Amino acid sequence: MFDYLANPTRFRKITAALLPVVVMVSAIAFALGLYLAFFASPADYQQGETVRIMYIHVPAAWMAMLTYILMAVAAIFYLVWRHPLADIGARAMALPGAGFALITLLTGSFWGRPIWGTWWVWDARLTSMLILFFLYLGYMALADGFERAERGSKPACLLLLVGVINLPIIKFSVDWWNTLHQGSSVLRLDGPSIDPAMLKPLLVMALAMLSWFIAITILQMSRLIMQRRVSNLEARESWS
Amino acid sequence: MRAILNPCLAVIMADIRASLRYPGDVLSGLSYFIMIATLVPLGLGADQAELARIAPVMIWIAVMLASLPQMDRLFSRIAKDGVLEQMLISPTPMTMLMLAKIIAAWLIIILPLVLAAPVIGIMFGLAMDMLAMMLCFLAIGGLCLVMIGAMAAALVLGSRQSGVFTAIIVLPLSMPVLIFGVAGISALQSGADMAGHMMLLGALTLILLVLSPPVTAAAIRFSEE
Repeated sequence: MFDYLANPTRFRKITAALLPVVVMVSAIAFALGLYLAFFASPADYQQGETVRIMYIHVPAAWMAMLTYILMAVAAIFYLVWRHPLADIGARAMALPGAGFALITLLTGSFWGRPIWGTWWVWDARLTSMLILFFLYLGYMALADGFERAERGSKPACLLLLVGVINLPIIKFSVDWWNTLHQGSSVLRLDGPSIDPAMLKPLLVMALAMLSWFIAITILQMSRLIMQRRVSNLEARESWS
Repeated sequence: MRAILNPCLAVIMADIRASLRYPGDVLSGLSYFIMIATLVPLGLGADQAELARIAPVMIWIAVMLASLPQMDRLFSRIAKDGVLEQMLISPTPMTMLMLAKIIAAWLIIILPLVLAAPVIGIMFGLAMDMLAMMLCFLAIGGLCLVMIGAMAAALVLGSRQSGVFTAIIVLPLSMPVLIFGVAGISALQSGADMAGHMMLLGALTLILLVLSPPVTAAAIRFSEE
Protein backbone atom coordinates (compact mmCIF):
# COMPACT_ATOMS: atom_id res chain seq x y z
CA MET A 1 0.00 0.00 0.00
CA PHE A 2 2.84 2.35 0.87
CA ASP A 3 4.62 1.55 -2.37
CA TYR A 4 1.40 2.33 -4.13
CA LEU A 5 1.14 5.70 -2.42
CA ALA A 6 4.82 6.46 -2.98
CA ASN A 7 4.08 8.15 -6.27
CA PRO A 8 3.41 11.83 -5.48
CA THR A 9 1.07 12.24 -8.45
CA ARG A 10 -1.03 9.29 -7.35
CA PHE A 11 -0.93 10.61 -3.80
CA ARG A 12 -2.25 13.94 -5.00
CA LYS A 13 -5.04 12.28 -6.97
CA ILE A 14 -6.21 10.24 -3.97
CA THR A 15 -5.94 13.08 -1.48
CA ALA A 16 -7.74 15.47 -3.84
CA ALA A 17 -10.71 13.11 -3.67
CA LEU A 18 -10.32 12.62 0.08
CA LEU A 19 -9.93 16.27 1.02
CA PRO A 20 -13.55 17.47 0.51
CA VAL A 21 -14.83 14.50 2.54
CA VAL A 22 -12.48 15.22 5.46
CA VAL A 23 -13.29 18.94 5.36
CA MET A 24 -17.03 18.16 5.41
CA VAL A 25 -16.63 15.75 8.34
CA SER A 26 -14.57 18.32 10.18
CA ALA A 27 -17.05 21.14 9.58
CA ILE A 28 -20.04 19.04 10.69
CA ALA A 29 -18.21 17.66 13.72
CA PHE A 30 -17.05 21.13 14.75
CA ALA A 31 -20.57 22.54 14.43
CA LEU A 32 -22.13 19.66 16.33
CA GLY A 33 -19.30 19.43 18.87
CA LEU A 34 -19.26 23.14 19.69
CA TYR A 35 -23.06 23.14 19.99
CA LEU A 36 -22.95 20.15 22.34
CA ALA A 37 -20.04 21.56 24.29
CA PHE A 38 -21.42 25.06 24.81
CA PHE A 39 -25.22 24.60 24.88
CA ALA A 40 -26.33 20.99 25.13
CA SER A 41 -24.12 19.69 27.92
CA PRO A 42 -24.51 20.21 31.66
CA ALA A 43 -22.27 22.49 33.69
CA ASP A 44 -20.09 20.72 36.20
CA TYR A 45 -21.30 20.72 39.80
CA GLN A 46 -17.93 21.92 41.02
CA GLN A 47 -16.35 23.73 38.11
CA GLY A 48 -19.51 25.36 36.75
CA GLU A 49 -19.37 26.65 33.18
CA THR A 50 -15.57 26.58 33.02
CA VAL A 51 -15.76 22.84 32.44
CA ARG A 52 -16.61 23.66 28.81
CA ILE A 53 -12.97 24.65 28.22
CA MET A 54 -12.19 20.96 28.62
CA TYR A 55 -13.95 20.16 25.32
CA ILE A 56 -11.21 22.07 23.51
CA HIS A 57 -8.38 21.37 25.94
CA VAL A 58 -8.54 17.57 26.17
CA PRO A 59 -8.94 16.78 22.43
CA ALA A 60 -6.12 19.22 21.65
CA ALA A 61 -3.89 17.45 24.18
CA TRP A 62 -4.74 14.06 22.61
CA MET A 63 -3.95 15.44 19.18
CA ALA A 64 -0.67 16.99 20.32
CA MET A 65 0.51 13.57 21.52
CA LEU A 66 -0.93 11.62 18.59
CA THR A 67 0.71 13.99 16.11
CA TYR A 68 4.15 13.46 17.62
CA ILE A 69 3.70 9.69 17.46
CA LEU A 70 2.54 9.89 13.83
CA MET A 71 5.56 12.04 13.01
CA ALA A 72 7.85 9.46 14.61
CA VAL A 73 6.20 6.68 12.56
CA ALA A 74 6.74 8.79 9.43
CA ALA A 75 10.37 9.27 10.49
CA ILE A 76 10.87 5.49 10.68
CA PHE A 77 9.35 5.08 7.21
CA TYR A 78 11.64 7.77 5.87
CA LEU A 79 14.84 6.52 7.49
CA VAL A 80 14.27 2.82 6.79
CA TRP A 81 12.54 2.80 3.41
CA ARG A 82 13.68 6.22 2.13
CA HIS A 83 10.08 7.07 1.40
CA PRO A 84 10.08 10.74 0.26
CA LEU A 85 6.43 11.27 1.14
CA ALA A 86 7.08 10.17 4.73
CA ASP A 87 9.52 13.03 5.20
CA ILE A 88 7.03 15.46 3.64
CA GLY A 89 4.34 14.05 5.93
CA ALA A 90 6.45 14.57 9.05
CA ARG A 91 7.22 18.14 7.99
CA ALA A 92 3.56 18.81 7.21
CA MET A 93 2.39 17.55 10.62
CA ALA A 94 4.89 19.54 12.70
CA LEU A 95 3.15 22.91 12.61
CA PRO A 96 -0.36 21.62 13.42
CA GLY A 97 1.20 19.47 16.16
CA ALA A 98 2.93 22.47 17.73
CA GLY A 99 -0.36 24.35 17.37
CA PHE A 100 -2.25 21.64 19.27
CA ALA A 101 0.34 21.73 22.05
CA LEU A 102 0.06 25.51 22.24
CA ILE A 103 -3.77 25.38 22.30
CA THR A 104 -3.55 22.81 25.10
CA LEU A 105 -1.25 25.05 27.12
CA LEU A 106 -3.32 28.19 26.53
CA THR A 107 -6.75 26.68 27.22
CA GLY A 108 -5.31 24.91 30.26
CA SER A 109 -4.06 28.24 31.50
CA PHE A 110 -7.50 29.89 30.97
CA TRP A 111 -9.07 27.02 32.89
CA GLY A 112 -6.46 27.06 35.65
CA ARG A 113 -7.04 30.74 36.43
CA PRO A 114 -10.60 30.31 37.87
CA ILE A 115 -10.20 26.74 39.14
CA TRP A 116 -6.68 26.56 40.55
CA GLY A 117 -6.49 30.32 41.04
CA THR A 118 -3.37 30.67 38.92
CA TRP A 119 -2.49 30.92 35.22
CA TRP A 120 0.31 28.43 35.47
CA VAL A 121 1.60 25.90 37.94
CA TRP A 122 4.81 23.94 37.55
CA ASP A 123 2.98 20.66 37.51
CA ALA A 124 4.14 17.48 35.83
CA ARG A 125 1.58 17.29 33.05
CA LEU A 126 1.76 20.97 32.23
CA THR A 127 5.52 20.80 32.12
CA SER A 128 5.63 17.71 29.92
CA MET A 129 3.25 19.39 27.47
CA LEU A 130 5.55 22.42 27.45
CA ILE A 131 8.53 20.16 26.75
CA LEU A 132 6.57 18.46 23.96
CA PHE A 133 6.01 21.94 22.50
CA PHE A 134 9.77 22.56 22.67
CA LEU A 135 10.43 19.24 20.93
CA TYR A 136 8.15 20.36 18.07
CA LEU A 137 10.07 23.65 17.86
CA GLY A 138 13.40 21.79 17.80
CA TYR A 139 12.20 19.52 15.00
CA MET A 140 10.97 22.44 12.92
CA ALA A 141 14.18 24.40 13.46
CA LEU A 142 16.31 21.42 12.45
CA ALA A 143 14.21 20.44 9.42
CA ASP A 144 14.39 23.98 8.03
CA GLY A 145 17.88 24.78 9.25
CA PHE A 146 19.84 23.87 6.11
CA GLU A 147 20.54 25.61 2.82
CA ARG A 148 19.02 22.75 0.85
CA ALA A 149 15.62 21.83 2.28
CA GLU A 150 16.07 18.07 1.76
CA ARG A 151 19.38 18.09 3.62
CA GLY A 152 17.51 18.65 6.89
CA SER A 153 15.22 15.65 6.43
CA LYS A 154 17.38 12.87 7.82
CA PRO A 155 18.76 14.69 10.88
CA ALA A 156 15.25 15.92 11.71
CA CYS A 157 13.76 12.42 11.41
CA LEU A 158 16.56 11.07 13.60
CA LEU A 159 15.77 13.76 16.17
CA LEU A 160 12.11 12.68 16.13
CA LEU A 161 13.13 9.13 17.00
CA VAL A 162 15.47 10.28 19.77
CA GLY A 163 12.59 12.42 21.05
CA VAL A 164 10.21 9.47 21.07
CA ILE A 165 12.65 7.35 23.08
CA ASN A 166 13.17 10.27 25.45
CA LEU A 167 9.50 11.17 25.86
CA PRO A 168 8.74 8.38 28.38
CA ILE A 169 11.88 9.28 30.34
CA ILE A 170 10.96 12.96 30.39
CA LYS A 171 7.38 12.05 31.29
CA PHE A 172 8.53 9.80 34.12
CA SER A 173 11.04 12.24 35.52
CA VAL A 174 8.58 15.12 35.44
CA ASP A 175 5.75 13.02 36.95
CA TRP A 176 8.01 11.94 39.72
CA TRP A 177 9.07 15.54 40.23
CA ASN A 178 5.66 17.08 40.89
CA THR A 179 2.02 16.24 40.23
CA LEU A 180 -1.06 18.38 40.76
CA HIS A 181 -3.02 17.74 37.56
CA GLN A 182 -5.98 15.39 37.94
CA GLY A 183 -5.67 11.86 36.64
CA SER A 184 -7.20 10.75 33.39
CA SER A 185 -10.96 10.26 33.46
CA VAL A 186 -11.50 8.84 29.98
CA LEU A 187 -8.88 6.21 29.20
CA ARG A 188 -9.05 3.92 32.21
CA LEU A 189 -9.06 0.18 32.56
CA ASP A 190 -12.37 0.18 34.48
CA GLY A 191 -14.15 2.28 31.85
CA PRO A 192 -14.44 6.07 31.64
CA SER A 193 -15.35 7.77 34.93
CA ILE A 194 -16.54 10.87 33.09
CA ASP A 195 -20.32 11.44 32.76
CA PRO A 196 -21.72 10.25 29.36
CA ALA A 197 -23.34 13.67 28.80
CA MET A 198 -19.85 15.15 28.88
CA LEU A 199 -18.14 12.30 27.07
CA LYS A 200 -20.25 12.76 23.92
CA PRO A 201 -19.24 16.38 23.12
CA LEU A 202 -15.67 15.47 24.02
CA LEU A 203 -15.53 12.66 21.48
CA VAL A 204 -17.27 14.73 18.79
CA MET A 205 -14.73 17.51 19.32
CA ALA A 206 -11.91 14.97 19.12
CA LEU A 207 -13.30 13.75 15.77
CA ALA A 208 -13.56 17.36 14.57
CA MET A 209 -9.94 18.08 15.46
CA LEU A 210 -8.70 14.81 13.99
CA SER A 211 -10.43 15.41 10.64
CA TRP A 212 -9.28 19.04 10.64
CA PHE A 213 -5.75 17.80 11.27
CA ILE A 214 -5.98 15.32 8.36
CA ALA A 215 -7.25 18.07 6.05
CA ILE A 216 -4.45 20.45 7.07
CA THR A 217 -1.84 17.71 6.69
CA ILE A 218 -3.07 16.90 3.17
CA LEU A 219 -2.97 20.57 2.19
CA GLN A 220 0.47 21.07 3.71
CA MET A 221 1.82 17.93 2.01
CA SER A 222 0.52 19.06 -1.38
CA ARG A 223 2.09 22.45 -0.81
CA LEU A 224 5.45 20.88 0.11
CA ILE A 225 5.33 18.56 -2.92
CA MET A 226 4.70 21.51 -5.22
CA GLN A 227 7.43 23.50 -3.51
CA ARG A 228 9.92 20.68 -4.10
CA ARG A 229 8.93 20.49 -7.75
CA VAL A 230 9.48 24.21 -8.15
CA SER A 231 12.90 24.11 -6.52
CA ASN A 232 13.87 21.08 -8.66
CA LEU A 233 12.79 22.95 -11.80
CA GLU A 234 14.73 26.01 -10.71
CA ALA A 235 17.82 23.89 -10.09
CA ARG A 236 17.50 22.37 -13.57
CA GLU A 237 17.03 25.85 -15.05
CA SER A 238 20.20 27.15 -13.46
CA TRP A 239 22.17 24.17 -14.80
CA SER A 240 21.19 24.69 -18.42
CA MET B 1 39.80 -5.64 20.33
CA ARG B 2 43.10 -3.81 19.91
CA ALA B 3 42.12 -2.75 16.43
CA ILE B 4 39.17 -0.87 17.90
CA LEU B 5 40.76 0.31 21.12
CA ASN B 6 43.85 1.91 19.61
CA PRO B 7 42.09 4.28 17.20
CA CYS B 8 39.69 5.25 19.99
CA LEU B 9 42.57 6.06 22.31
CA ALA B 10 44.18 8.02 19.49
CA VAL B 11 40.99 10.08 19.08
CA ILE B 12 40.86 10.84 22.80
CA MET B 13 44.55 11.77 22.95
CA ALA B 14 44.28 13.98 19.86
CA ASP B 15 41.36 15.88 21.36
CA ILE B 16 43.14 16.38 24.67
CA ARG B 17 46.29 17.58 22.90
CA ALA B 18 44.26 20.00 20.78
CA SER B 19 42.54 21.45 23.83
CA LEU B 20 45.89 21.84 25.63
CA ARG B 21 47.28 23.65 22.63
CA TYR B 22 44.32 26.03 22.50
CA PRO B 23 43.21 26.33 26.14
CA GLY B 24 40.97 29.32 25.30
CA ASP B 25 37.84 27.22 24.82
CA VAL B 26 38.15 25.48 28.17
CA LEU B 27 39.03 28.70 29.96
CA SER B 28 36.13 30.63 28.44
CA GLY B 29 33.76 27.81 29.42
CA LEU B 30 35.13 27.92 32.95
CA SER B 31 34.83 31.68 33.24
CA TYR B 32 31.28 31.54 31.83
CA PHE B 33 30.48 29.01 34.55
CA ILE B 34 31.90 31.22 37.29
CA MET B 35 30.21 34.33 35.82
CA ILE B 36 26.76 32.73 36.02
CA ALA B 37 27.46 31.74 39.62
CA THR B 38 28.54 35.30 40.39
CA LEU B 39 25.47 36.89 38.84
CA VAL B 40 22.99 34.86 40.85
CA PRO B 41 23.83 36.25 44.34
CA LEU B 42 24.08 39.75 42.86
CA GLY B 43 20.50 39.42 41.68
CA LEU B 44 19.12 37.39 44.56
CA GLY B 45 20.78 39.06 47.54
CA ALA B 46 23.42 37.73 49.90
CA ASP B 47 21.17 35.69 52.21
CA GLN B 48 23.32 32.62 52.96
CA ALA B 49 20.44 30.26 53.75
CA GLU B 50 18.63 31.19 50.53
CA LEU B 51 21.81 30.81 48.48
CA ALA B 52 22.54 27.38 49.98
CA ARG B 53 19.01 26.30 49.10
CA ILE B 54 19.28 27.23 45.43
CA ALA B 55 22.95 26.21 45.09
CA PRO B 56 22.27 22.74 43.58
CA VAL B 57 19.97 23.98 40.82
CA MET B 58 22.19 26.99 40.15
CA ILE B 59 25.29 24.83 39.75
CA TRP B 60 23.45 22.42 37.45
CA ILE B 61 22.05 25.15 35.22
CA ALA B 62 25.46 26.84 35.12
CA VAL B 63 27.07 23.54 34.02
CA MET B 64 24.42 23.04 31.33
CA LEU B 65 24.80 26.57 29.96
CA ALA B 66 28.59 26.72 30.19
CA SER B 67 29.05 23.40 28.39
CA LEU B 68 26.63 24.25 25.54
CA PRO B 69 28.85 26.51 23.39
CA GLN B 70 31.73 24.02 23.50
CA MET B 71 29.50 21.05 22.68
CA ASP B 72 28.12 23.01 19.79
CA ARG B 73 31.63 23.07 18.26
CA LEU B 74 32.35 19.42 19.05
CA PHE B 75 32.59 18.36 15.39
CA SER B 76 32.95 21.64 13.51
CA ARG B 77 36.76 21.62 13.45
CA ILE B 78 37.21 17.98 12.42
CA ALA B 79 34.43 18.40 9.86
CA LYS B 80 36.37 21.26 8.27
CA ASP B 81 39.83 19.65 8.18
CA GLY B 82 38.61 16.29 6.88
CA VAL B 83 39.27 14.15 9.96
CA LEU B 84 35.59 13.29 10.09
CA GLU B 85 35.70 11.87 6.56
CA GLN B 86 38.74 9.80 7.47
CA MET B 87 36.86 8.46 10.48
CA LEU B 88 33.98 7.44 8.24
CA ILE B 89 36.14 5.53 5.77
CA SER B 90 38.36 3.97 8.45
CA PRO B 91 37.74 0.30 9.32
CA THR B 92 37.02 1.22 12.97
CA PRO B 93 33.26 1.33 13.63
CA MET B 94 32.03 4.91 13.64
CA THR B 95 29.97 4.21 16.78
CA MET B 96 33.11 3.37 18.76
CA LEU B 97 34.92 6.44 17.47
CA MET B 98 31.98 8.56 18.54
CA LEU B 99 32.10 6.96 21.98
CA ALA B 100 35.76 7.96 22.15
CA LYS B 101 34.80 11.45 21.07
CA ILE B 102 32.21 11.59 23.86
CA ILE B 103 34.74 10.45 26.47
CA ALA B 104 37.19 13.07 25.22
CA ALA B 105 34.48 15.74 25.37
CA TRP B 106 33.66 14.73 28.92
CA LEU B 107 37.33 15.07 29.89
CA ILE B 108 37.73 18.42 28.16
CA ILE B 109 34.38 20.14 28.70
CA ILE B 110 32.80 18.65 31.82
CA LEU B 111 35.76 17.72 34.00
CA PRO B 112 37.07 21.32 34.41
CA LEU B 113 33.55 22.46 35.35
CA VAL B 114 33.15 19.60 37.82
CA LEU B 115 36.49 20.50 39.41
CA ALA B 116 35.47 24.16 39.65
CA ALA B 117 32.07 23.31 41.13
CA PRO B 118 33.28 22.76 44.76
CA VAL B 119 34.65 26.30 44.81
CA ILE B 120 31.25 27.62 43.76
CA GLY B 121 29.61 25.24 46.23
CA ILE B 122 31.68 26.63 49.11
CA MET B 123 30.92 30.19 48.05
CA PHE B 124 27.22 29.29 48.17
CA GLY B 125 27.49 27.84 51.64
CA LEU B 126 27.27 24.13 50.87
CA ALA B 127 28.66 21.95 53.65
CA MET B 128 32.20 20.66 53.02
CA ASP B 129 31.36 17.01 53.62
CA MET B 130 28.83 16.85 50.79
CA LEU B 131 31.06 18.34 48.12
CA ALA B 132 32.52 14.94 47.21
CA MET B 133 29.07 13.46 46.56
CA MET B 134 28.12 16.53 44.57
CA LEU B 135 31.15 15.88 42.37
CA CYS B 136 29.89 12.35 41.71
CA PHE B 137 26.47 13.64 40.68
CA LEU B 138 27.97 16.30 38.43
CA ALA B 139 30.41 13.83 36.86
CA ILE B 140 27.70 11.26 36.03
CA GLY B 141 25.12 13.84 34.98
CA GLY B 142 27.79 15.61 32.96
CA LEU B 143 28.34 12.42 30.98
CA CYS B 144 24.62 12.47 30.12
CA LEU B 145 24.88 16.10 29.05
CA VAL B 146 27.85 15.35 26.82
CA MET B 147 26.07 12.41 25.18
CA ILE B 148 22.97 14.52 24.47
CA GLY B 149 25.19 17.35 23.29
CA ALA B 150 27.11 15.06 20.92
CA MET B 151 23.87 13.90 19.29
CA ALA B 152 22.69 17.49 18.87
CA ALA B 153 26.04 18.73 17.56
CA ALA B 154 26.12 15.92 14.98
CA LEU B 155 22.52 16.60 13.93
CA VAL B 156 23.08 20.31 13.31
CA LEU B 157 26.41 19.75 11.51
CA GLY B 158 26.43 21.80 8.31
CA SER B 159 23.31 23.78 9.13
CA ARG B 160 22.94 27.48 8.45
CA GLN B 161 23.01 28.55 12.07
CA SER B 162 24.08 26.84 15.23
CA GLY B 163 24.37 28.06 18.79
CA VAL B 164 20.83 28.83 19.88
CA PHE B 165 19.77 26.12 17.57
CA THR B 166 21.69 23.40 19.44
CA ALA B 167 20.22 24.74 22.68
CA ILE B 168 16.67 24.16 21.40
CA ILE B 169 17.56 20.51 20.79
CA VAL B 170 19.75 19.88 23.85
CA LEU B 171 17.85 21.56 26.66
CA PRO B 172 14.47 19.76 26.41
CA LEU B 173 16.26 16.41 26.19
CA SER B 174 18.46 17.16 29.19
CA MET B 175 15.57 18.05 31.47
CA PRO B 176 15.58 14.62 33.22
CA VAL B 177 19.30 15.06 33.97
CA LEU B 178 18.54 18.36 35.67
CA ILE B 179 15.63 16.92 37.66
CA PHE B 180 17.51 13.89 39.01
CA GLY B 181 20.76 15.78 39.48
CA VAL B 182 19.21 18.60 41.47
CA ALA B 183 17.00 16.23 43.47
CA GLY B 184 20.09 14.19 44.38
CA ILE B 185 22.12 17.14 45.65
CA SER B 186 19.09 18.59 47.45
CA ALA B 187 18.46 15.25 49.17
CA LEU B 188 22.10 15.24 50.21
CA GLN B 189 21.68 18.73 51.63
CA SER B 190 18.60 17.86 53.68
CA GLY B 191 20.12 14.61 54.85
CA ALA B 192 17.59 12.45 52.99
CA ASP B 193 18.50 9.28 51.16
CA MET B 194 20.08 10.10 47.82
CA ALA B 195 20.88 6.58 46.56
CA GLY B 196 17.65 6.46 44.53
CA HIS B 197 18.50 9.65 42.65
CA MET B 198 21.99 8.38 41.95
CA MET B 199 20.58 5.12 40.56
CA LEU B 200 18.08 6.94 38.34
CA LEU B 201 20.83 9.18 37.04
CA GLY B 202 22.96 6.08 36.45
CA ALA B 203 20.10 4.39 34.59
CA LEU B 204 19.71 7.46 32.39
CA THR B 205 23.44 7.38 31.67
CA LEU B 206 23.26 3.73 30.62
CA ILE B 207 20.29 4.39 28.30
CA LEU B 208 22.13 7.28 26.69
CA LEU B 209 25.31 5.19 26.44
CA VAL B 210 23.38 2.80 24.19
CA LEU B 211 21.52 5.52 22.32
CA SER B 212 23.95 8.35 21.83
CA PRO B 213 27.01 6.91 20.00
CA PRO B 214 25.03 5.20 17.19
CA VAL B 215 22.72 8.20 16.74
CA THR B 216 25.72 10.54 16.63
CA ALA B 217 27.45 8.29 14.11
CA ALA B 218 24.33 8.11 11.93
CA ALA B 219 23.86 11.89 12.02
CA ILE B 220 27.47 12.41 10.96
CA ARG B 221 27.05 9.94 8.12
CA PHE B 222 24.06 12.01 6.92
CA SER B 223 26.12 15.18 7.03
CA GLU B 224 28.90 13.71 4.90
CA GLU B 225 26.63 12.22 2.22
